[in-house]
Amino acid sequence: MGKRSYSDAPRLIYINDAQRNQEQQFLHNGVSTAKYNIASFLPIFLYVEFSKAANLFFLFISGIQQIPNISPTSRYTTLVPLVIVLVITAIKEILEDYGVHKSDRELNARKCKIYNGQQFEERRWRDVQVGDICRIENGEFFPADLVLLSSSEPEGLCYIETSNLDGEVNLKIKQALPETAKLVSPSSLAGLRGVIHSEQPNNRLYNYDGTMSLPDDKGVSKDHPLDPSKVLLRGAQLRNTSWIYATVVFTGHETKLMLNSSKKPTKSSNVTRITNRNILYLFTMLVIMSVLCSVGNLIFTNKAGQQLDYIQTPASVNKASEFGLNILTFMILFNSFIPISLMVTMEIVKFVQSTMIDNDLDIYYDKTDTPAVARSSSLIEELGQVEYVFSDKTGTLTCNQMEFQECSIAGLTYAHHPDPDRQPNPQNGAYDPRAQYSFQQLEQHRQDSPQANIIHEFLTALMTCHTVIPEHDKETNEIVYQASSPDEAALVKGASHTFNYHFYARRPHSISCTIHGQDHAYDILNVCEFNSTRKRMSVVLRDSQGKIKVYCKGADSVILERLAAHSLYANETLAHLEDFASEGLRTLCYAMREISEKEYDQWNRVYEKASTTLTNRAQALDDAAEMIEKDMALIGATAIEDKLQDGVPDTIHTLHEAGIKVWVLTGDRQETAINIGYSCKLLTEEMELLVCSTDDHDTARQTLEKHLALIQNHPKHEPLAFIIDGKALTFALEKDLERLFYDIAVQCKAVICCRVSPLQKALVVKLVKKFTKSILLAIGDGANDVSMIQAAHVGIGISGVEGLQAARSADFAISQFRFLKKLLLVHGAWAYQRLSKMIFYYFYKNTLYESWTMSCFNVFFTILPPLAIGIFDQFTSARLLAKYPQMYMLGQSNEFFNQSRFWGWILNAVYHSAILYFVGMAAFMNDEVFAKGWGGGQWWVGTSIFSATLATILWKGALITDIWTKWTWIAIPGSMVIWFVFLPLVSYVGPLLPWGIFLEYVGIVPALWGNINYWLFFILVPLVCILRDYLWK
Amino acid sequence: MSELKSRKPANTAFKQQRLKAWQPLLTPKTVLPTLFAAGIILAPLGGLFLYESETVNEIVIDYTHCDSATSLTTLGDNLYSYKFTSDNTTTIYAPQYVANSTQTFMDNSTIYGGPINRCTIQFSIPIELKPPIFVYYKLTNFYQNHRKYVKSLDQSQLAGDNVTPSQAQASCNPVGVDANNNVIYPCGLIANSMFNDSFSNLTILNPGGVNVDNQVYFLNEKGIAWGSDVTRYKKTSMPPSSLTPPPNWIKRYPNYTEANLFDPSNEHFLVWMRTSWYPTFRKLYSRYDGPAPLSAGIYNIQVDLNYNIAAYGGTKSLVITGTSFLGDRNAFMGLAYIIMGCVCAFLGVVFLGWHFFRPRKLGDHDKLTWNQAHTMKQH
Repeated sequence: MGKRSYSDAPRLIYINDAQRNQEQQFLHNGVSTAKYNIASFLPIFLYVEFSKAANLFFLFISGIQQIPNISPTSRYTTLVPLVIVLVITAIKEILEDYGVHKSDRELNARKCKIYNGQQFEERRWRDVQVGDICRIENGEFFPADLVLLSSSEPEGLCYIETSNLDGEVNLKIKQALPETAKLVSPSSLAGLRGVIHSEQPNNRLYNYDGTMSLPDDKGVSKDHPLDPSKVLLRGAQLRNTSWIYATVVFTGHETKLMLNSSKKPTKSSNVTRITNRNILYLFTMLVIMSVLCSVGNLIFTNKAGQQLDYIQTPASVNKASEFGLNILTFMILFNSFIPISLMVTMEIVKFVQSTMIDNDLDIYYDKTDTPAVARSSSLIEELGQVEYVFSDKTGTLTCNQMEFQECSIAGLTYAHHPDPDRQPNPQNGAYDPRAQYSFQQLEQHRQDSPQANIIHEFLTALMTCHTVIPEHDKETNEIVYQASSPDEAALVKGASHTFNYHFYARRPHSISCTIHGQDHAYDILNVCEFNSTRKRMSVVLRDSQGKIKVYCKGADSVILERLAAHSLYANETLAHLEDFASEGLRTLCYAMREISEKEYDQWNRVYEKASTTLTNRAQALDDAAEMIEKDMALIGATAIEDKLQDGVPDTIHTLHEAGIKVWVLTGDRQETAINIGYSCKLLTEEMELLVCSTDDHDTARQTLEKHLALIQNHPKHEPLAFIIDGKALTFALEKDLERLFYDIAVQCKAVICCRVSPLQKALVVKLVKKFTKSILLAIGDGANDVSMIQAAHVGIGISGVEGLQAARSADFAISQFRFLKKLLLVHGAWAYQRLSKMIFYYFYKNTLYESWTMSCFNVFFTILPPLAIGIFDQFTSARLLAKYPQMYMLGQSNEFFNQSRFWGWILNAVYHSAILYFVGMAAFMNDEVFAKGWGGGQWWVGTSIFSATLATILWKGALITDIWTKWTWIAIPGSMVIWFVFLPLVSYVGPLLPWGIFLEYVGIVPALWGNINYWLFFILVPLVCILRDYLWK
Repeated sequence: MSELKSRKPANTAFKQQRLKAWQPLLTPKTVLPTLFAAGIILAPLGGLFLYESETVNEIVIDYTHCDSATSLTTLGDNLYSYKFTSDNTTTIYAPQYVANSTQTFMDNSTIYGGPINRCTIQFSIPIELKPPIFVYYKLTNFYQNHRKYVKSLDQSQLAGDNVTPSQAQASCNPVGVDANNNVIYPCGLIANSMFNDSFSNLTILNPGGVNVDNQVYFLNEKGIAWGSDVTRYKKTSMPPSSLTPPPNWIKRYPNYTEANLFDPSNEHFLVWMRTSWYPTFRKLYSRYDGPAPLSAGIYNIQVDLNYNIAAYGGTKSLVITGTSFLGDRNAFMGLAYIIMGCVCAFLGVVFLGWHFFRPRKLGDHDKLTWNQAHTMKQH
């Protein structure tokens, strides 16, 4: 994937000529999304695992343990746990990958019908080749990227659903070239000859450039343009169409779907990074200690000299190599410093915590039956440290359920629910521009006002200027409007339901409507589609009277630029637009123009040419559209209400209280954005608004500098809000101003960026990321938020109306903005606190641990308490956390997990081990610990101290546990029980095993348990150790 | 997209993180009683332990330099210690020792390679001592815990199995085989450096009067090793001709024959093999089990000076002591418990006072309660 270099030359696909297609050796259609195959598993897996520092370290340690006479421990004590850890990881990877392999195999083995020259025969997906003609039945998925040839529907139409690609569930219409649309039987296909000049494979889902050369009736080859509306992408599904014929252009990994499924950028959490760094610190400590101990050893050996005769150090061994070997020995001895299983335990804990999020009823949304989904568990603790929330507005703060509320036509406003305070005042004449009329009055004006024809044009524009597909619901016999944007659907629905301008059918080149019961058909000549740079769309049509008209709708700024000079009503409409926006409504402007046949013909040629170019077609089309969208007359503006989601003001207020700064990045107008800001409590009355909307770099700089000066002289207590619009933001994000912009923005309690493009959203996030170490969270619902979501430390997708694309690329998906509160304040805070505690406890216990005993220490005796802490501990109840959001600040300031805490824990561990050692030394000084006069010996004393160590660790674990569930009971006292079971086991069973291990433990159980000193020590020492912790807690 | 099964999460206590739980809060109300309770329990226990430890009588005599004592030498104060439960019954004399050359060991076996000295130590026991009484040797500056030392033994050889020279070399290096590639038995540094002074029985001089015969208290050299160890090691099945004794054992074992082949179930050997964790250690040599108590008086014990501790830079001492249920005389455990108890009680008082005068500060110093959250806000 991506390794092949694609030339710019188009790929040639010969229809019905398998041989010439095969000569080009296109990629096969089998796909493999798995990470590994049988051969590559080991190398890739090992490479990945050993690029982790900890694993490499343990490999190194187990390597030096293999050198005879160096290791103080048995040869396999590090290797075995390492292998176990690796095997567990490997099994997890294999299982995951096996699932992927299986689904890949199933997918590749799916059947589809391929034309073999005479008829269609079934073939498996993986055998589908470029140039094949296939027949897809209703409900089937497309096996590859196809170019539509014909369908069962008239004029080669078909409907597809692309929820697998972009998450949008509305149907999309695709249409074949008229030249191929007539080929509706296998026999007619046989005669089809032609060449497709296709673009090279790329990952742009919404673009396709190509031409199909077909011989016309005279046998002369003619180029026909292919655009995205003729391309069916792998992953999409055929709907509402009984069958289609299509020819394959891209296969396998060259399909747009596969090229798009690039890996998400991997994000690693702060805590993980700090942990890795701490491991590095410990490693340094380990090396230093090893060197110091070796130096000590050297001095000791030299001083003692002959006195160490009983150890008989061979004189031949040279001091230097002995010293070097000693360093290695001590490294092995101290290697347990570095917790081998920490990473694995962390993974497990995070996984369990993420399932807890998945399973939380409080953040499950009844209406759409969607629970929260934690897609990447590795970032879970970041949720507890968020300082900035970047939020999209539409669909995130609001429901994205649009309702047509108000409109402005010819300088008058009409509303669904007119404001009673703005009743028309008869004194101002019959038509009062300051008043607000009702829709019923609009109906009347349509019939009798002087502006009746403008009203008619406006409503016609509502009815025709869109890309909505009407779908007849067979059960209710109603029409459901399938639209890619909810605004469009709301407008069409509004026109139809409120004003009886009813749109009911769309064909490739015409639409059918009824106006007050009267049938009208419009020929759709051209559609200049909406995109984010144009911010408008227009339709060129011929109405029933044969007049050619262009209707254009779009954002006010772009429409107003394209009006004829001295356009009527522009000022009134503009004022109305501001009114609408201040009510928090989304606005669109409508304009139209009549075009003469001559002008149209000229323009159409330009347009046709643009639509057949292979390179830069989008730009060419934009340019062509620009030529027709000019000198238009303003006919009106619409206002759509986008309702706030439940609980948004409360959530934002809570986030503010928790010290989280909320930035709203929206594509809306400044007024709309500010208004939404007020209604969702992002802005409050006492806030001073700093607005920056400028048109050029220098003014932007001046404004920003002025604001900054203002802030610096500002009394701290009055909250500020900063509002910047897209254009000013462009300048603010430039190198020389970005610092200025950042300085202002972080001083403000709320920041609103309006009119921003998706790219700017990501840039803003990246900018803040660059200047601060804080954790950033981005939340959004649409495809336009994806880049922002991926740029932030934590991305949250709202699985809402605008499809699932954001949710797919996010780390967590929730269905309502208000769930963010629990996700951050409760789950985030818990996860962060649990993990920090667990990690420190892990370091603590590993530092404390006396290495000679058992390497399986980690695995058997003390793995449960950290797990229990990691999973079950709740430092405060969910209720309190939600009630007192201020507690969240502890996480932001990294209160639980920072370097001083880390060294605090390490010191604590050193302190405890010092107590363990010196108390042990004093207690067993003479070694005669038995009433029978026997001596204990090394192993006895060691095991006693180990028991005490374990008890200390468990006591410590018990102390830091805030809440005791039954699992905690099992884990903490349970671990002690495991030790008491383990000891007799190795003592009695161990020696019977053939490997000669555990011989040191022969007979130790009665000697230990029958000895009062053991128990006294076992009770005393942990108490001594823990006393300090107990009191200071 | 229609999904029949609801994706609504199950409402279980586990999944909703509402497991029944006990939330211990360390507040003054809970900490203080535990402190006092700890104080009340630990301190008296410590007192008991200390008392018990003090009932143990102990005599330690450093005889490292006996070798050079050609005439009866009185030991300096730093070379001996007497600890008795009461010391004013009769006069206590400082121990004295003298070395005489001997041609045979105490058990009359031949000393190969020339005579050694036998040290006669005189010491006084001022009070009657009840059995059991234990005789230890105490070594200092002897690193039985050295890494290389500890590992240098062959468990299977000691268990009686055949061991090839290469195996012995691997597990017992550098004392695995001799120059002729014969397996050293028992091999390894531990066995080679085994303590091999021998102690005689205890003799009381002129008990009760001037002309009464000296009375001998017989010491038992069995039962000095762990019960579990006694059955652990077995004599090897290899022919003595292929085995050779450890180099340091030459005075007693110049070579092996069927007759003198070493048996590792020897309890002195077992005691030695339980390596000590600290460079100063005592190991049990023999015990006096009674029935008669040791009378007060001047005692005599003889030691065959075979072990050259001076070469290792350490000292060797004779220890004669009783035990309590806590083992030998060691005040530490008692003191530790007393101190711990007192510290707990003291802290309890301090905290009580603190709590009494400034109640709010206590307990939630590090604790995340909501008042603290509010103080956070004020910062």
